[in-house]
Amino acid sequence: MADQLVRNFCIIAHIDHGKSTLADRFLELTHTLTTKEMQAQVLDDMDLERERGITIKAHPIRMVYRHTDGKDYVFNLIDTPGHVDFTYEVSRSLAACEGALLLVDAAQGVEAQTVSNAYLAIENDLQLVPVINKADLPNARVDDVKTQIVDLIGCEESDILITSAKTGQGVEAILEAIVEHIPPPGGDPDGDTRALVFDSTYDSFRGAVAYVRMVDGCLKKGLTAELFAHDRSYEIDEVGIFRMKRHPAERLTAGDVGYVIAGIKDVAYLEVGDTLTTADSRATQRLPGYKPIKPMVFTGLYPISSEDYELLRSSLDRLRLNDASLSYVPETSTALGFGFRCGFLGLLHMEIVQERLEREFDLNLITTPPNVEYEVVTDDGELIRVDSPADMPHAGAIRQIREPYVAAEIITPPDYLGGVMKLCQDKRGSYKNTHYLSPSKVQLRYELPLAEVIFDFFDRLKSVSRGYASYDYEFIGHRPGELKKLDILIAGEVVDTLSRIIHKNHTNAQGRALCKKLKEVIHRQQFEVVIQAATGSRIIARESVKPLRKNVTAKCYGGDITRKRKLLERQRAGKKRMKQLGRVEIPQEAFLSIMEVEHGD
Amino acid sequence: MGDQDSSNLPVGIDYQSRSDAARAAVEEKNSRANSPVASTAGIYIHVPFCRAKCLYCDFYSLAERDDVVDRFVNCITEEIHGAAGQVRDRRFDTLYIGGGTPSLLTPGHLESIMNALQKVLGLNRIVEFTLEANPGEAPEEKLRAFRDLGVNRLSLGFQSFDAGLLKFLGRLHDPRDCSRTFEAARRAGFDNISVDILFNVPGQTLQCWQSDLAALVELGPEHISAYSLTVERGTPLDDMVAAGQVCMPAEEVDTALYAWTRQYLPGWGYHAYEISNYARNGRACRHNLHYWRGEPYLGFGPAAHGFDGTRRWWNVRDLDKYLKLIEGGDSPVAGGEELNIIQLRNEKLALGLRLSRGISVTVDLGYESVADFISKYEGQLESWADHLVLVGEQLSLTEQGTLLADTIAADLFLEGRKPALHRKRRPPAALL
Repeated sequence: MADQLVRNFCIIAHIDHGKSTLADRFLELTHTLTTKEMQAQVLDDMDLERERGITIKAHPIRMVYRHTDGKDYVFNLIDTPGHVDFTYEVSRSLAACEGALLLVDAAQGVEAQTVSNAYLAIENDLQLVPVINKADLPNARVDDVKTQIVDLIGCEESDILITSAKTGQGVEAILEAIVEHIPPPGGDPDGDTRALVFDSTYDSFRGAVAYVRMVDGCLKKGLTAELFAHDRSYEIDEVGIFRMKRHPAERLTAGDVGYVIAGIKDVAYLEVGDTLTTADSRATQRLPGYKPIKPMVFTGLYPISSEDYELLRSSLDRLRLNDASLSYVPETSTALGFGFRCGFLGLLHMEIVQERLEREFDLNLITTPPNVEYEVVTDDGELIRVDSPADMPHAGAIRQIREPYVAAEIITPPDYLGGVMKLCQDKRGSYKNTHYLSPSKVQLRYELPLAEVIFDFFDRLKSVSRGYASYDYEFIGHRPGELKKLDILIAGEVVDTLSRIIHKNHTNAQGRALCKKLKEVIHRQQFEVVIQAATGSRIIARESVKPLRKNVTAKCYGGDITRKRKLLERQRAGKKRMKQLGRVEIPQEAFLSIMEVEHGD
Repeated sequence: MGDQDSSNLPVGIDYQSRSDAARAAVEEKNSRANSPVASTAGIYIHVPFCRAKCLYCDFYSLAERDDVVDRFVNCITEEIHGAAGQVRDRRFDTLYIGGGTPSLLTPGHLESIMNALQKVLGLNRIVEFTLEANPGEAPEEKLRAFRDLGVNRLSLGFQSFDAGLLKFLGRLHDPRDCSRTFEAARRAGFDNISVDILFNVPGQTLQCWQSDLAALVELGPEHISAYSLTVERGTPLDDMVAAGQVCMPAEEVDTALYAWTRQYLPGWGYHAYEISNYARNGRACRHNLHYWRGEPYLGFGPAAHGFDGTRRWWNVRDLDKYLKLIEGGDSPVAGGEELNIIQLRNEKLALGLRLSRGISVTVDLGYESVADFISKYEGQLESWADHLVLVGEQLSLTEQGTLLADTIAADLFLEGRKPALHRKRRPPAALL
């Protein structure tokens, strides 16, 4: 039997429901670190994470808690990524735990992410400890939120703990509940070694570091580690546990949460969900639940200045060291030159990578509109995968196009139900069911094409619900769709990176809206610029940007020279962020504007 | 006060009638005239008073502040005295009193200012002394008194000969005041008169503008500034356009009127020596040429700017603050900037290309040779082939190019810290 004095758990919470603050209180109460060491929200250590208030990389930490029974319990808190893009990563973090705190904001109530992660936890047989946070807020609706939680997980109202992580009220009771309600880990310390890889990080001195939950057996220095997903073996240099930093340990045994360093060069060999075993105690059966990483959203990343291509490549290499879910292959665009087609887990993941490239590596990038991966059955029956609209075969050569679908979970106050349903309808969603969690919360289920979800769905959901609705989704497979490729021509040339695959009913409206939008953002040049939208060889919309006839200051004397120079310097700087397409200068906004265009326009 | 000596002015020469060799000789002489050794400087005085504020004006000026005119003149003389000791030997050859409406000053006021200037900066090398005046606001006796004080050039703000347009613009005069004041100025002895006139005014047709220009040519000033009316931010006109009460003429109208001007005025002997400025032989505005050539100038008065060849600074843009600072013994300077070598060069481009003679790619832009310049700018020279011409080492805009002067200048701007300059930076002018 594994150690009875260990508790492995995580916290399930929607963004801003106070997960990080609660974790901070735990660290204080268990004296894991002194107040002096306390940094606000210590667990989020990337700048971007702190700015956006979200966790991107899971970060485990070990605490020792002296319970009222006088015994010291080891708590392993496994922080989970808190965004829809990372559902699979979350599920693997959950699989590393026996229990989870279900943390709900007393004012906001249950949100979509809470629901889907709670379901994930239940699927993984986790013991849930429901907690209502921020009970001290003047607009707290504790009773209503209790109803929602009872409805969601079927617990008793009396099981729900009431707390304020901010003031510390009720936090001690949560620690007690962790000991009493969450079971100790099972597993066989003497069995064949199986460790679940739930995350990894890259250390520039020591290579890839596996974050593991020991299920059976033990790991220690000198043993030969093997992974199921890749046929390689590594000698273990070090194992250890997580305090604020990595802390070497003699061994890791069944039930432990810790790390393994084994001279692994690339995090790509440490796939989340994979099973680590050893040569001398080799497991025959991999742990359940492993799925290879599958990017869902694709975009082209191009340096504005072609000289930055190598810098972009090395920057992507650097980011990938720590992010195995980032994929990229070189791509050439007639419009934008050399760049990379990159695959991401979702939109947020894409934004984060893009922002880090611009911020940390000082790159000026053009990001093409994101798209999904299509399965195309060609006329001769061949199945091909297309992750760039530019690569879509000619319409005549296609028998069928299949697009990825997701099952979406939307939670909204009933007042906005109509608006949300209309939005889902607009987005080609098929309705599944409605369920009232409480009088103030409705849960809606839809199946939607992923392409529609990554395309302004979130913004529109927020706007139709005044910010109250939340959503989460899960990939459910490819389905056939009546899809067409919409091309944009500027000055008679197809701009490959502006091509999109859309539903045939939307091509006309979308083509017109796109041309109109491009007309706004493409500034006037020495000559007329014609913008056209086409499906196949048929032109469906046309706009033109009139030539610039006059741009000259009429009066220019002593007082205005500084102002005038600055104005021209700004013009000059703006030009630097333009992409030259033949004779036409296209501003970066043109490539982004496609995102802002809605079907209805 | 020197006499009008126009023989060495580099503008107003009829290039077309000369052979290429002669033209090259002129160019060479011109670039010498523009060399640091010969660089002279201007003095500007800003008089911010107006009887009424015009709809479109964004110069710093105020109506109904006659109460402080005396105080203002005292402060200007104070400010000039304050410059004593800071100004080293410098050839000031132009003096320009602008505004506002400087003709609202009395000859007595002007005399006080000139006394201060004479004492501190010396006026004996001044060859051009301009004063701005409005039609209907400058009687002959007053003009005569100004002339006697040494003013040798008048700049008259006609703006239009159309009563309706004048009213729309918020001008107080009517068309008859224009010719009356012009004649009065001639009688007062002014043989160098400039007239400001506007096109691109809402409601103005090509015909209307043609008759304005014809009337103007008939009067026969020595110099014409023909500006396209520009909607400047924060002006009443800006608000009216934004509110949809006024609709500016279409761009085609603006360019047609401009094109007409550029072709009509030279036919009557007015050389288009700058985008908006036309002069008879030798009558180009020497003061404004200081600005366009990047030469130094001193400015006095609220919102006035000064430039010493590398540094630019400016006074507070607020009459009351200006008066208070000077009366309290403080400097009225509100801000300044030290121009780096790239900024200086970019200004040379932005300003110099406004002149029909353009700029020298070696002397002004600092390239080692014409070939060196061409190799660096191959792309731009090609894409602007219809808009830019390089004759010898002079780079200038074609007629078509003048319409896009700002776009082209911005396109030729240098960026970054390492400029492609081979010449040694010329020593800062010893002005302040």
